Amino acid sequence: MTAAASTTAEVLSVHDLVRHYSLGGGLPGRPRTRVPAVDGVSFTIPAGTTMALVGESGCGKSTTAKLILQLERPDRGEVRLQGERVDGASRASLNRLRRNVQMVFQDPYASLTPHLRVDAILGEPFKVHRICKAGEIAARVAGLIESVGLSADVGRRFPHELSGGQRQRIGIARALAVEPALVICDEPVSALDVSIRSQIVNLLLDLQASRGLAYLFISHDLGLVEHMSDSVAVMYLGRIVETAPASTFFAGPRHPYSAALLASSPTPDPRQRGRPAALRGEIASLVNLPSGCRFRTRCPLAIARCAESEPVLLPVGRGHLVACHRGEEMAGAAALPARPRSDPTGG
Amino acid sequence: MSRQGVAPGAGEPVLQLEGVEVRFPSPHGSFAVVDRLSLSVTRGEILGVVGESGCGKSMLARSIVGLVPPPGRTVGGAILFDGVDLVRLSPDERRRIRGDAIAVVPQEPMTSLNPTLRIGDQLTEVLRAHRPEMSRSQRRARALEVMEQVGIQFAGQRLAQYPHELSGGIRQRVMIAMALICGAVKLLIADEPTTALDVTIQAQILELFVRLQSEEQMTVILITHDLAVVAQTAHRVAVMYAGCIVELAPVLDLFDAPLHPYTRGLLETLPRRGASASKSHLATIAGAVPDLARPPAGCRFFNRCPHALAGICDAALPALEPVADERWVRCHRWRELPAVAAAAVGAAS
Repeated sequence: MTAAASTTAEVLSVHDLVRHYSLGGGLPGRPRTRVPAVDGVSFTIPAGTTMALVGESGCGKSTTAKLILQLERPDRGEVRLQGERVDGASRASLNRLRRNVQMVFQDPYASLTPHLRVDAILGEPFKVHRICKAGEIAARVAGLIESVGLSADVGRRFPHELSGGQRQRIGIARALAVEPALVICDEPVSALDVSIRSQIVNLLLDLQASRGLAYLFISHDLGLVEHMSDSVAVMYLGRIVETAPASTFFAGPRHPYSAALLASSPTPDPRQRGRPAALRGEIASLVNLPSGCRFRTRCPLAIARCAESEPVLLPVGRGHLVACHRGEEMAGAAALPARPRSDPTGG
Repeated sequence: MSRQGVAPGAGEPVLQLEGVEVRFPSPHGSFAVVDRLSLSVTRGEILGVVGESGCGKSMLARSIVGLVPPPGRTVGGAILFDGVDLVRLSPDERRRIRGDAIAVVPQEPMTSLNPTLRIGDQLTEVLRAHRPEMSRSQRRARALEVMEQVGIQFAGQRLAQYPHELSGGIRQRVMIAMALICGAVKLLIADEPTTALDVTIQAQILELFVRLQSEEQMTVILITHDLAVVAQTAHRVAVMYAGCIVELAPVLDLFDAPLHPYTRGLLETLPRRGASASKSHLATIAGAVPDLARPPAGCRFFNRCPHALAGICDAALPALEPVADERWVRCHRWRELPAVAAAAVGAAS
């Protein structure tokens, strides 16, 4: 399969995905509470492209990833990998489908088996998915190690003998073993040091270019998201509140939460101070959701209507969807008012 | 003003470190995680200390408050706080300063709070230790006052809550309230105070630090791995690498014209907002940090530096030398480097 031939196809499509957790109910007289961790999420990722999923902790990013991999079963909704339904698939066909989607984890140390050598860790997917004969595994593993920019002697080492950057390369190599079409990267560089980070970012970009990989890139680092992504989806309390092509999104987000995220994420430029702490207060509780718009408790633009009905995702431009009653008014506005911060020239 | 013999810094110092050395034992002899470090912290400034994991920035902070975890030890140098050498104080005398005039805000507010004690009890514990003359009601009143100061709403209710009932942002505000509660803090040391927080909460907490510094004339040492955090808050920045300060400069100078190759490398690796070259390669710093148990004889950055010259850079550790007003750099070749960089750009185009 070449990247060029498949760019028009969707590698992943997710439709109206719902996953509610139950809390409590363990004791008589204690009611069970439903927590809508993921609540009606839909998106598609074309082959060979990167979609970033951004949002604060608890917004449902990682649960969405688990639902795609069927590590969690959705309560409702559809997950299709290259057109084929994954949810409700039998065990045998699930195993086959999982060859199309792999995951790279945040903490490369916690996600590598500590008592196996790198050779054995990377050999595992070939055995599980019966990709090649036993005699060929060693050569395939050597090829993988080389493809992530490590020298062959790394194969004989244990994970604890590797640096953080080397470990993350092994995590990526393991994901590539089955030649997936989609790799879910859950904060793949946030545990790494700054000087190592860009090496891993470059590796991910190279692999995308050479293998036509699609990425679902889960990250809180908007600078990195802008650099890596073709499209962006912003989640808040289990819902996607805005989705757009990356260039459109970064040129002018239309949801007040997206604008606040952008304004809050610090830029490495001391001349661009004066960005306000855009949001007061904290994320609302999933257990006790506000009426209407879930963001209205923190929204600087909230009006009475926002408490009455929950906005739905509506198109505002090409490939650009926003769930906000005031999304129209956000257009062209410099989003939120700025307040001066500290003066970089002195106290 | 002559800078001869003065610890690197600017303005009236509240804290002066002179040749501070923190060492840990190892089977092959001890090694220095903070290596003869000198630094002067100006009253009322926010000093950012940046560096990667293992560069010694947290050990520097712990050394100042006398909390280097054993078997590590501050083995040499002087730490002058308002003229008093903290290193020479008895543990009791240090304890009296720590939490009172010098306070620390840790990275992880969840693990730093006692999960079995109510917020009120943990806050007022500081007063019981440092202000034994205060009555119970005075302590409670002070706790409420300081919680309001750091922007905690419903302070009265919060006092009766346990840490797990609070969000990460509120927990971090509680840690800051705890640092301020004695009302005499002159130096606040914050070690990665926002690393565990979401960006919208991070922005609120950083704003709080800036407000405390400007309204209370507090001195803040902000330790972080995140150059963006430093760019948004600090007045001056110290860049650490492998136990040493490699560059010290006012924040605008550092970001406008970094002198040390490591600082330059760090800044170049960052993706720039609004850059049109998306999906292009980011700059990298090749190689890895040297093993501190066997530090190289010369410049610590020698093995990763694109400008390293054998025979000079690997021969002796360069000194942290003054290069301009308030600017210091630890590099044998800083004078030639702007020219080297310009030549490289010229050759490439």
